Amino acid sequence: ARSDPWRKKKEGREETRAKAEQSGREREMVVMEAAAIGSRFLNPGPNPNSITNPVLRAVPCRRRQPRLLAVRCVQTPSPRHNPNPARGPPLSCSAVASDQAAPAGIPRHRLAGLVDEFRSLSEPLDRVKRLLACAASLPAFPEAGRVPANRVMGCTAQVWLSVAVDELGRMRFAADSDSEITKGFCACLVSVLDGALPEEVLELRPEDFGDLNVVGLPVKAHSRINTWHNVLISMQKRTKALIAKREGRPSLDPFPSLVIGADGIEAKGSYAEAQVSSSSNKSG
Amino acid sequence: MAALCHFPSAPASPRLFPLSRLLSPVSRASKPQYLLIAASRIENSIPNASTAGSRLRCFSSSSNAAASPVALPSDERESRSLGDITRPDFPILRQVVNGFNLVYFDNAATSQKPSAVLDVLNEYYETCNSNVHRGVHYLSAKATDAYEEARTKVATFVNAMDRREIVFTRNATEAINLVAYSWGLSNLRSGDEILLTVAEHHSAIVPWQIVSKKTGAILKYVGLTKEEVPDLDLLKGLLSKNTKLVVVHHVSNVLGSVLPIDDIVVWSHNVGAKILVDACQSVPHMIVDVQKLGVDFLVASSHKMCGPTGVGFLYGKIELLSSMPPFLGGGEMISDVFQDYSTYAEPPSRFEAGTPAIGEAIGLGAAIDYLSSISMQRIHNYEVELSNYLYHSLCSVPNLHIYGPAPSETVHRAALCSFNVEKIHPTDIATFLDEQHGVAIRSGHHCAQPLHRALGVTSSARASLYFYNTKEEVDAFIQALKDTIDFFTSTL
Repeated sequence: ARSDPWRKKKEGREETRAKAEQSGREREMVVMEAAAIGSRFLNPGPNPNSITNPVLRAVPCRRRQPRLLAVRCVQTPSPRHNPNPARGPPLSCSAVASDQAAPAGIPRHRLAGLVDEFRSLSEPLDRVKRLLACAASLPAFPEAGRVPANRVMGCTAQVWLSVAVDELGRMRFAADSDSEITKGFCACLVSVLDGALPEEVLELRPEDFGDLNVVGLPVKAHSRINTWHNVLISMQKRTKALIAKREGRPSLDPFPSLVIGADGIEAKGSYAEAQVSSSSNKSG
Repeated sequence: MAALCHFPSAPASPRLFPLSRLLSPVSRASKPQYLLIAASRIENSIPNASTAGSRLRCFSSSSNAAASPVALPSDERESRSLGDITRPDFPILRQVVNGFNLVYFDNAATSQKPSAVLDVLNEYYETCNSNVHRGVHYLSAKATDAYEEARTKVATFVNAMDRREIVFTRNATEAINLVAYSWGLSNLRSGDEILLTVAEHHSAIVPWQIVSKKTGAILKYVGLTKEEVPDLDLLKGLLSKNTKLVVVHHVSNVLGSVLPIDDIVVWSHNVGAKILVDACQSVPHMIVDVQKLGVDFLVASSHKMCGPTGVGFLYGKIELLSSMPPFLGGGEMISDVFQDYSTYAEPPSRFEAGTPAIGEAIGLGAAIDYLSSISMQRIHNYEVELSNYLYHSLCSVPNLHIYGPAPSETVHRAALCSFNVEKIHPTDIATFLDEQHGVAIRSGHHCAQPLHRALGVTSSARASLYFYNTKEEVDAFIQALKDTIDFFTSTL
């Protein structure tokens, strides 16, 4: 019977033991991961994404305290282990599942993996195909999120971006676009930054993604044609605003761009706001 | 190092054959889809081109700049298209993009400049640069003469009655703003109506939104027919005694359609309204005669008509310009300046504050010389041919919709097509065309968001041609487009 106290105790002990085993496994994994990371950092090879222990590749990340910077969770598989890099999963840009939050320090690592993956494809056409595969791997964007406040301004394609802070203080992103190539860029951005710490979101620069060397990235300048650059800026701006709100600080004043409407001329403009945010990024 | 070039994949064309003036092969060209022919200019085809200060550009060190024309059999000579003949004048068109010869189909955004214009710009800065209307010394006199001569050239080009009816501005956008802030603010009152079409460029809409906010005037829009052209019956119906200004394009930069300006002018004047015509897509491509049209204001940009960026012009009837207050204040536009007031100069100086884009205006004059040497009628005739060819070629692509009217005996389209392919975003098409084929087209809303909303889309792709483009390029574009569509339909 369930109400049997002895049974409860046994269950309790079993639970405790299971938990202990689990946390033991976790600790073991942490140690293994740390060792792998340590060896990677100590011996920087040409392919920093190479992992000697294949077991670690598929291990889901455990949540860690932000301070344990030595711990890394390797989620991205090495492109060397993918026999057919031009086709199909596993992809570095597959978006992280929503119930998993990555430990600290991941974005740069993921970005490096993404850059390696694209660099391993010598034909521009293969890089385009990879980008489109990234687009296909982006999780479906909730219809409720398709609101004007989530639009990222740019004049060639429509982009929606949702930004939230989770209970651990990490930034959660979702994105969508009606252009497949733009969607591919959004997938790359989301895969790098979803689950990142706010400061990690803010420290990335658009130039860091230039190393992907994929179609649509010839324009280095800050231009409205550079949609994915606008997306990154938008991620950063909204991150700052959400964090400011959490901390009870007033967020930055919007840039006084004008909207000429039937009701009058008013200050607005998320693109202009993104512009001023990016220029005051260092001080913000 | 020189090489003979020929069109390997084009259907047997009597127009194209190896010539004495040769291109050096560009080493980056790894996959030429088709190769350009450098054609020697046939002197009798372009009578005055050589006098426009042009020197034939030459990449091969062995041939002379002013090479004598190749002796061609006469029937072959005549069958070369205007595009083939004029291409050598445009050095920028010879480049290789992403391993492919550039196919530049974004002329509605901006045009390329012939060597004749570039040489004049260079010559200005090398020999007579000086501020205009401001000095008595030799260089200043030379520059002023050249600048004012450019004004006369523009006036002649559009058949203005008086050279003072041409005001140089930065571009057509600034010219419209000039009319809005100067004529609009002093002539529009609460309840007055401004009539526009939904197909107007943003530059012809936004200044009037701003001015109507300030004055209380109302904007009214003419929608499209099911043939996707502005509804002229609706336009006639919307004209009333309250209409003070009609703002219309001559040629639409998206639809490719042409409005009957002479009729619209008559209807507008009948109700006492003035009319401003946005001629950005017409002046570069056809004869535009402001006397015949009877317009009150007309604007155009230099950079769309083989001239440099940074200069455009406003044509306004002299009696209108004379009654208008200044737009920008500063030097040149004043007569006397005291501490608490100033008196203003006569037009056009009244509207040209500050040092103008002198070299650029002179460059525009050179562009007009170049275009005139070909003759606008000849350019227009060739572009009608190109336009039909482009339209019908695009019709051969499945699941593709072209916006605007279908061409016919009575309906002439401009040599541009905005289109959408089912299920593929125009940005994806344009990006792939560039990356994988070196073809430059435009994607987006082409500064016409209200029009796209009226068409029920967010964006479109646009290929726009000019007289230096060829049917062979259209073939290459169609091939590239089909390849692009195949790629996206198989990958998605």
